[in-house]
Amino acid sequence: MRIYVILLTFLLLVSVFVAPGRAEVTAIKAGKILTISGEPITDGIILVEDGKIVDIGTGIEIPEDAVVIDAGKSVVMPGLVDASAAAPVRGDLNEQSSEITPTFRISDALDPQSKALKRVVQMGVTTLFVSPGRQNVIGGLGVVVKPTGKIPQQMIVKDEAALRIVMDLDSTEGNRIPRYQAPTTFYYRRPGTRMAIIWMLRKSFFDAQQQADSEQAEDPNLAILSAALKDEIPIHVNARRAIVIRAALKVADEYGLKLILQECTEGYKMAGQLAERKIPVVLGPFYYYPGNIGQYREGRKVNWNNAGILAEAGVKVALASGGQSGAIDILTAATFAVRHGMDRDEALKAITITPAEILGVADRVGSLEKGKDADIVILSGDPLNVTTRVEKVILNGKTVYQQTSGETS
Amino acid sequence: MKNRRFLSFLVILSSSFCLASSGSESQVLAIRAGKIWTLTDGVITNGVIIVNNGKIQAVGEDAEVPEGAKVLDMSGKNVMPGMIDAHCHIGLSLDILGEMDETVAAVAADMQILDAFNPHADDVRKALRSGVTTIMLAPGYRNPVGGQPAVVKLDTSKANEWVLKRTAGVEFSLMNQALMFDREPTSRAGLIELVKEELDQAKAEKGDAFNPRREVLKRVVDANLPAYIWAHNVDEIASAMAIIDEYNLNAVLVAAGQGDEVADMIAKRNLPVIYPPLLLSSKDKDLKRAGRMANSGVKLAFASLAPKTDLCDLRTSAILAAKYGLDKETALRSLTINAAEILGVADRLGSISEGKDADLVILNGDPLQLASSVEMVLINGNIVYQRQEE
Amino acid sequence: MKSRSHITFVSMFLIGFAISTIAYAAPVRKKLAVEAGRIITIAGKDIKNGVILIEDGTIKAVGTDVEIPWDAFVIEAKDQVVMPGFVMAHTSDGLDRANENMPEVPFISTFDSIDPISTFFEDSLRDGVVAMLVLPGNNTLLGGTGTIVKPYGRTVEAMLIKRYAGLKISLQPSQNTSRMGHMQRFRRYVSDLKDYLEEYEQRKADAEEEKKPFDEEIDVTKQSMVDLLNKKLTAFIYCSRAADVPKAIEIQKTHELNTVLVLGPDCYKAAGLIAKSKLPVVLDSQLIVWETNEQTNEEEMKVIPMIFHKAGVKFAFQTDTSQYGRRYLWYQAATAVKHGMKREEALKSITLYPAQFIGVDNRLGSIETGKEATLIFLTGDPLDAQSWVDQVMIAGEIVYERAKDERLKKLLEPPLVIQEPKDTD
Repeated sequence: MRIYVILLTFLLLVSVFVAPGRAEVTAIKAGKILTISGEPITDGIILVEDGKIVDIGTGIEIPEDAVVIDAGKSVVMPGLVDASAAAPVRGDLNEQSSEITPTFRISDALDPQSKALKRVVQMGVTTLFVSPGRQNVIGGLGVVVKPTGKIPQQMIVKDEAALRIVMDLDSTEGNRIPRYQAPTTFYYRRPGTRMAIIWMLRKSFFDAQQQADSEQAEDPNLAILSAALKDEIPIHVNARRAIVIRAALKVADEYGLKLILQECTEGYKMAGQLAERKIPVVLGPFYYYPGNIGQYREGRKVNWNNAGILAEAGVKVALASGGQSGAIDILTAATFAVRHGMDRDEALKAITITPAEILGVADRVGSLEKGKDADIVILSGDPLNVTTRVEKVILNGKTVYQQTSGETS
Repeated sequence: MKNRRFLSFLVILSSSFCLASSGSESQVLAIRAGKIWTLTDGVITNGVIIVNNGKIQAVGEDAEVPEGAKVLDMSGKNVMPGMIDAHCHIGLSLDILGEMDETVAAVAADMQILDAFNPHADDVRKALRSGVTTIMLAPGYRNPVGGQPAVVKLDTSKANEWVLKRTAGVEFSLMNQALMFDREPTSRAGLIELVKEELDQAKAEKGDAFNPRREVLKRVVDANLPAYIWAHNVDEIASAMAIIDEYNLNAVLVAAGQGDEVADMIAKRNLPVIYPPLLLSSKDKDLKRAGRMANSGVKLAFASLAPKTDLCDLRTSAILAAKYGLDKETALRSLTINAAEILGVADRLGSISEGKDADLVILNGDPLQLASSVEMVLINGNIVYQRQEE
Repeated sequence: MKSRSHITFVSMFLIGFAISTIAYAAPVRKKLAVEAGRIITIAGKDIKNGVILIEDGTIKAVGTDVEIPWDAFVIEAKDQVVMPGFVMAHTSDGLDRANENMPEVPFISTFDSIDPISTFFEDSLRDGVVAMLVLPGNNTLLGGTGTIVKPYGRTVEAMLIKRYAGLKISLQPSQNTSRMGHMQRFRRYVSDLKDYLEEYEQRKADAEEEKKPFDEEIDVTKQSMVDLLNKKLTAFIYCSRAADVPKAIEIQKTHELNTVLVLGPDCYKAAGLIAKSKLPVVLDSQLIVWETNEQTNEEEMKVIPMIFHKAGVKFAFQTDTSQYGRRYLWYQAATAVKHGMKREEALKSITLYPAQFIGVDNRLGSIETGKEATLIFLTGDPLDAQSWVDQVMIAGEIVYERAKDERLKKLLEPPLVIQEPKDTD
């Protein structure tokens, strides 16, 4: 008899300590929840399990053993998505030995310990698009990452997310056109002008088409371009001035490409056309004044309300930091976009669901909905207020940043 | 009884050899020592090591000293196996950036580092004085696919086989130092691409035309020859593991200083790590890493990376690591037997056991004390260094 | 007859013209009353639905029950916020070149270099700045003297508030000098100057004794430094690094100068020292500095205004054109409020305090009886990014109206003629 009692007690004890591992449930209560996908929820609850949102709304029952995060009167919104981020990468952002490097995968160079990642999380950004640099005409393949993980593989949300093409004159920087001297490095090369940039682009796509039709051994570079031609890999084109945008549209028409425009500083001049062609636009960095900014030789006619004008015309607009590590605060970008004339809701979308859609990861991030990743930002007030602070950031269901109590010192 | 007979046989043998050969190789050496760190059979107090013909004939508390043996009285001293510097570039050049990195081409797989070795260089003497008897002489980290490292002993005075392995593997570098401004690759992604391309081409190699580069890389791809991969930061180590997994390489991580952050992944793959030097100026944070890695099950061997770093005294790395969390026995193993196993020379080196080479270091105190100094070094039973009293 | 009607007609025309000129000329109104939805006085509590009475460009009364004289011109701003215009205690913008090549040029003045057409002034007015002390840059040991101007006027004379204000000293060594050499240069200059003054005084005394006329003036290149030593000018000492701060304090103490410290971002590390010295401070435009925590490897945000605020230091903000927001003084104040500073204190740091630092607080920096009627009219709260400066009044005169700001219109509205070719050819 006694042995049964002992056994039973033993079993009970075991079951208590070795309970079947149901993942921990977290419940976030907040005064205002901006889902972005629908109407804001007042005094709502978000239930998170296993890194995903399992339920969201009002009057939701919180399981007994749930960890409760009571955000009080704070405002909750989805983790921000930066569709053109400063690259958390060590070393050169471009393979300089050639102008056309479609097989270049920036994901090979990701550095999870990058300071940029640690800072950007504190600004509420939980998803970033990292692409190769601007020094090559066809820079290579970008990757969508989250600022988490010990090794690059743990950061990646979507690899080979887009092919980067730069049609601005950036790629000519550093190219020394060989004239009379013999080349001593591979920087003695073309292109040096926009004609050449566009020519190289056309040639690359042309060769890709040729290869697709022929029996030749596959050149991996051309294989990537073929995939891009077939719409299997999205194409991001960097174009600031209106004439460059127009040139991009022309190449797109010639090869039947679907484009996404990056930077697009003079996009407001062709808002109607961009809307008609359904070309999404990722804006950033923001310039107050035209002129030759930085080392680029091009001037730009700036309109502070670029985002507003494009959005009003019906263009899908994302606001990004544009790869400048100093401009990582895209909440401020959205705030100023509204100041300059953009609609509030459009501005909030421009840093959440719109970039997520443009990057093809909207199934996972960009809004607070059942089934999506639990990437949540808790703010001290209205997101579009410059005095609002990021109080807490939750990534994949785990708190990854919490403001230290009181003022920072 | 058996011992005695064996001993007498030896005495006869050795005396006959005395006539036949010149020099002291034939002389049997008996080293009495206060403490013998065998590394395989624990620590022997007040024991004797019998050295004959360059090999350890016997070691033990009561190993019998044969007649005619020259006795070295080291009672009160510590004896340990000659230390193995798992990765260094000594004897290569007067200029630190000289001969160890042939950077003209990104791929230099067919270059053999031994061709550039000068055994009489100052830094070789320095290493000997610090108790290092065998080194892996390696190319640097500035080529994505570098040359072929070699395993050599530091005594080249006599015509013995001081080259244990002429081609011990192929060196790869996934560190940012392999990137160059005016030579491909200039970027990390370009670097990874280049390495993969070389491995792919080696795989596809049929061997018709004479191509020493492809040939040696093919041996790597077939896992016949180890790949020594430089990767220090976590992202570099992650890239290395990805390539090792993809190509199923037999590999060793070199200078994986931040490996403790992904130690479980390294241990899972049974990847040994050649650990970069710990210096007295290193940060506390970094000094703790070696201990953490070893505790996660990663096999470590210390390297000096001399003359790239100030450390020629390999022992300092072990001492500092032991102070910051690495257990003492593992620290000693990482100077000796671990390195021997990783480099594939454990049949001959790394411990004081019967049948192994008589490469020994005699110190005036515990080897893991900074205050102890090396008094004598033997290679193949020959005294190659003896500390002079001032 | 014909000639007489002709004269009448001409004279009628002339009189009519004169009358219309008087009627349509921008009148400098003697009496004004501003009815504002909210008045941020800075000097005291905010006033809801208040009135500011202005006479001859000076504030006569402020409050809720102020009686508006029958002949006062009423400016209705019932849905707006009225506050004192912003003051910049230090800037080197608006000059053609901020730095001279030689290290010791205290005799030059920014008055000679201010460019009234510079977009810096146009932007400043648009953004609500009403006074700025323009000083030489940070690359010169003794950079020269400054000028206080308002960002309104076609010529520097028209913009002038104060001709001779502040002397810039920079402790940032110029190229090829070490800090040792730099400090030694300063000490030697002052010591040579003191020798010169001694000799000058001696000659003066000798002349007096011998009853001879003495009309020698102090060397014009030394005058400004003499004024500095006699406390007639305030020293604006630039410290690029925290290590420069004790040197600046030493200079201030040794020569008993009126001093304002102009700080680089690194100087937050010397906050305690600065607090002890009780010297006023102008912060760098960069308010956030990131530091890597040695132990945890985490990135920590250091908020510079909060560090100084907690240490008890009084400061003013600076702007730059590098990023979103940093070009606006209100944004810098809002950043401080975001991280915990009280509104009132932050607003003082862009109005009253800078006015005090540059010595114009008798006229500017707050809405109080007796001060100049130099106000800005905002469409909302100053710390709200959606607020715009709607009007700027300087000494009772409206000098900026957003409704008439052509350049702003061009920057915000879609282009009138949209050149969009239908096809890409």
